[in-house]
Amino acid sequence: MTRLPLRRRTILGSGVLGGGALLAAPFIRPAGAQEMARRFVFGQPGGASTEATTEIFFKPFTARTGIEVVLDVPSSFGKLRAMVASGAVTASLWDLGSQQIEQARALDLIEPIDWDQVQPGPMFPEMKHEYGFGQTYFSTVMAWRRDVKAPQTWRDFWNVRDFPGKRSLSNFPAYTIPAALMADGVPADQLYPIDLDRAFRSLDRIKGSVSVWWTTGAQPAQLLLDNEVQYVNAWNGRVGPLEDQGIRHSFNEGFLDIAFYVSPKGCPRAEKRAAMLFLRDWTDPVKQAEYAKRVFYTGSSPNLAPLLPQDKLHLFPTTPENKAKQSLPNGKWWFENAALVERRWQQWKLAG
Amino acid sequence: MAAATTEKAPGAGLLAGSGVAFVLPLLAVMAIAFNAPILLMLSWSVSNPPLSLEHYREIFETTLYARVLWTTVRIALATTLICAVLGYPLALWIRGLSPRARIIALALVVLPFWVSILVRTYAWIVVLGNAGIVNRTLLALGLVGSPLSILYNELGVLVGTVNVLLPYMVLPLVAAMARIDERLLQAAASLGAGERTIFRRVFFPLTLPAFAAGMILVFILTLGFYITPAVLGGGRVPMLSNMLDLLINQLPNWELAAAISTVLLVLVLAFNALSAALRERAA
Repeated sequence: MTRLPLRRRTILGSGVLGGGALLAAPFIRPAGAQEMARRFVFGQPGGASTEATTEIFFKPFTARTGIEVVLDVPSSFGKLRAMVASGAVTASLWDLGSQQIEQARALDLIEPIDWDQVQPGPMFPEMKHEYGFGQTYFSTVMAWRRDVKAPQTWRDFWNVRDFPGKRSLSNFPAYTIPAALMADGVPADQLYPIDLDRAFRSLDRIKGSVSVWWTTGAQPAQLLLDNEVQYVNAWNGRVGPLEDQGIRHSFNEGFLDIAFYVSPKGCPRAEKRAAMLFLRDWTDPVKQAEYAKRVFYTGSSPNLAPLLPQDKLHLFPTTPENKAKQSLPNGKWWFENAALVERRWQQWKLAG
Repeated sequence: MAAATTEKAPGAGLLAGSGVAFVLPLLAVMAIAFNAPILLMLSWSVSNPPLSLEHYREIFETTLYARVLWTTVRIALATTLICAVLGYPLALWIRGLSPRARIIALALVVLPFWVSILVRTYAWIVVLGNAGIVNRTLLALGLVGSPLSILYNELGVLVGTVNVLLPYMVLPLVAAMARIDERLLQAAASLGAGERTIFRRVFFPLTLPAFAAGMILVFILTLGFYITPAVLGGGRVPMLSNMLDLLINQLPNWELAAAISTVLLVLVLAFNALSAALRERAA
């Protein structure tokens, strides 16, 4: 807010030529009015979720308000850091995982969401973060091929004698270590603070059966389809659409997580206001249901379940029944220990 | 007239003689777009805490980075060796072909260049996977009881790197072999040397500079491989580029990434100097 007058003076005072003044015109309104840009830039991950977001949210929003949404793909954390460090912050919204929010704050890369302006519809409380707008839930779940014995728990998943077959696990320790602990008997509500020694001892037991440590969401699904491995942990949106192709998954002992939208620090004021206006659309359960039908990631509305296809409720992570089986991560713990965990993880993988 | 010519001559002569003026724009582009960022990267590696060698100390004191570096060098050496063993006979064979067959053979060597490295790398999954062509054939013939693990280990990565880099070995060799004067070989033969002796004492030494250059090229290129270990290594064969991706995009610890990049840069420069020295000796 305090930067606004400065910005206006800069534009007027620098004697911009005709074209520039014309472009700047929407920003220059009488004092007091909240200026709203006709466009804003949005850092998106790309792929199926961005396609669905474009169809269901961006296009109707632009048609209604005339505000254009410009995509910046892909929205990696490194790119966010580079953008803020360079001082040329173009994007007003950026896609970020729950475990990166704390770190983005520590590095001073993001600023608070202007919740007063968003005026959201009803949302689950954990989706309303001071610095993040909870976009969707996603879940890291166990998945397997229909032709092998179905595991019920992570203990089953780890039991390679009674559940023979190759495994693929996420190469991101934050998605795999909690499963290792539960396989070793730690209850979901006692995972944090994480006992790393115990987690790696548990991982030692399954290491020999893991063919692939996956790094992209598409990998575990493809490995199952190719029968390269028989059991994986995977993001529910990747395995949900494959039910017809013989891939099964369960939310039992799943790890629920939240994909956030954040505002990069120092983004253009007028564009941020346009972006906040857009966020309100994301709290509409009807639109969220449309989105979930396509990518199986569910939005923030507690009223979503009745709008989802009732014959496929078992595929969505936040129906009351499925949500109750899962746990949420402790983002703060992961932030404080990220570097340490990553180093131990890599070292552990390299050792024999 | 004559005076005008003499007046213009020095400038024109300078331009034509050294050509510096023509190169300046390119040099400027290189300096701004390439050299300046490298210097910036170097400065990152000693920042935060400012002006310290903290990140270099971490690289060399933590076994992790040393091991990743060693894995990378080991795979680069193995790739170089395999490319040499496969590439030299192939180039030799191509040299002996009729001009028409030679063109076809070279086209086959170059053909993979026209296919995206990503597509080629994924194609190996179809060929080498548990349910891939190779394993299905072996199983059908009863040669193996269960599918061989060719993918998602160092072997898989090596298949990928050799596939991509073999042309870099073969093409310089074919060029060098084509330049060899037949009369030298005939002279050796007329002096009573046998086939083997001719090869060992005349032909091979003449191809050695190109052979060494090809090997160093393959070695250096392998050091920077990213896609192949990411796709065919199954997360079990971490090479430096994959480690850098993690440090830059996931963690993000840019200072350490800059330090590792600098180590990689020094390594490559050292091999480049070695390659230059070899060329000098050959010339």
